[in-house]
Amino acid sequence: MEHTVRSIADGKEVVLTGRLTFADHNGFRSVIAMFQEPGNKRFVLDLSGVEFIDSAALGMVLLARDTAISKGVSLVLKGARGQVKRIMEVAKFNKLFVMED
Amino acid sequence: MTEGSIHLPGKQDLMNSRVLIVDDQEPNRKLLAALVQSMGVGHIEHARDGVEGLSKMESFQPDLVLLDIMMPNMDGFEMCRRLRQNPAWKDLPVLVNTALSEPRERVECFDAGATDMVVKPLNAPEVIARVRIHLENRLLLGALRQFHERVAQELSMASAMQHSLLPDQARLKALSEQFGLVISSRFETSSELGGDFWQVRDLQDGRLGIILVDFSGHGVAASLNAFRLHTLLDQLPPGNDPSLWLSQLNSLLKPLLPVGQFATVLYAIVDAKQERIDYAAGGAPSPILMPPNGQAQLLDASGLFLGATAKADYDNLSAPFPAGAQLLLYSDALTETQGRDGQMLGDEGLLELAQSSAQEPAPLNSLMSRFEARFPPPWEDDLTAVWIGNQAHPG
Repeated sequence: MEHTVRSIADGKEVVLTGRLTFADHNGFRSVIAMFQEPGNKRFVLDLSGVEFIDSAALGMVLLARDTAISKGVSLVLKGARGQVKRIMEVAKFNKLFVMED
Repeated sequence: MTEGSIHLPGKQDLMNSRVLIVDDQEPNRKLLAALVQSMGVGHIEHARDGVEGLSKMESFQPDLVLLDIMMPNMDGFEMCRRLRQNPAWKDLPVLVNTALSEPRERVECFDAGATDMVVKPLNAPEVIARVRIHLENRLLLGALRQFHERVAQELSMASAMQHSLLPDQARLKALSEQFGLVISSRFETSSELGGDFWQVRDLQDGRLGIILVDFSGHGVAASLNAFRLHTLLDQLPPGNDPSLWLSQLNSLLKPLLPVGQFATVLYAIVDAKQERIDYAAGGAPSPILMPPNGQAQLLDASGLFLGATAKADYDNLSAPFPAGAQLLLYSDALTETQGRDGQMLGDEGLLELAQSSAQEPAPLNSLMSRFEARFPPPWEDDLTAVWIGNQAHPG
């Protein structure tokens, strides 16, 4: 997994690319750590460049949700496609997250 | 260090170490023996040439051989080559002491299988330092090996315990007859322990409940969650309302799971007489339903993962399951394992494979052997597959 961060109005957009798996635990933690930074009210995870996500990485996304809720940050999942989109539909992530195309 | 971790060797430990000195010159043997003894090495044996050296290997069982090169009868090169042919001595440290100082000759020592060398005339502190390093490495390797053996033994016991959580063949056969079904299963963990779980329950009303759960991740941590779940089944037996049961199970399981750990789940109630399946699911792989004379289809198994949220609602769904129909339940290792070309079977690929296996006398065996041919084990994820056929005839 690679990630790049850019500022958006009242928060950050994190663009993730590649395969999102157990091996990306530390990289993903550093993304979640940004939720704690002052001034960030809204986080957008751009998943349009993610080609595969495994169950461990889905767990990290759920962890991100938990952290976002506890920090009062709003979290948006954007642009999921292919296998990522399918598995998030199967897991009814639309009930847990704001999902954008 | 905590109890149970690897013990690192200290000076005391050399008391039990064994060094074989092979040299044709007695003064050399005495000098080397004095040096080795000064380090605290407890057991020292001598040999005058390669032939005698080899003959003492079995009885003395050295931890290190100090080996001269130029000797009568059999030189050090030959002895070293021969002892390396025995797998038992493959990793034994052989420290060559030699007057040969040309780079080409040194390379020849290593080619013969020497671990390290000291050049004559011998420098005592250097000999001591090198012998110590190799003996300590040897002790560390032994400690690691012991640690590995102990963990392997513990994991093997735990693995047997995990398998005992699942329905055994005799039980499946009895239930199959009782309910007018044919049930076969495969359960493989990617390492000794895994996070997959499945169980069957007699609902006491002529119907059979089948539960399939896949905890995120695999290995020891995931298997502990499978054991937790097994305990919860006694507290909350699977009931007649699949969606209600999943919702209750989620409430019990959520506080036990660390954030970020979850499970996919499917609870199906099979009614062979009424020819239907009622089920509820949480993000499980789509079950494959094969009607007696029709096209196989994927059933909807979407829903919130167990453990994703404190409160979760599920939907009750149903499907016809007439006599002759078959159903495949599975964990995602079947669809998401990567082949040598990096390709995965996917839902559609598995659907095809199941459809073409459905007419075989042992459909699951047939499906699995074709799966294994294309995706050879060991697999990176835990794999569970349960195949259910309806044998009952109406009326």
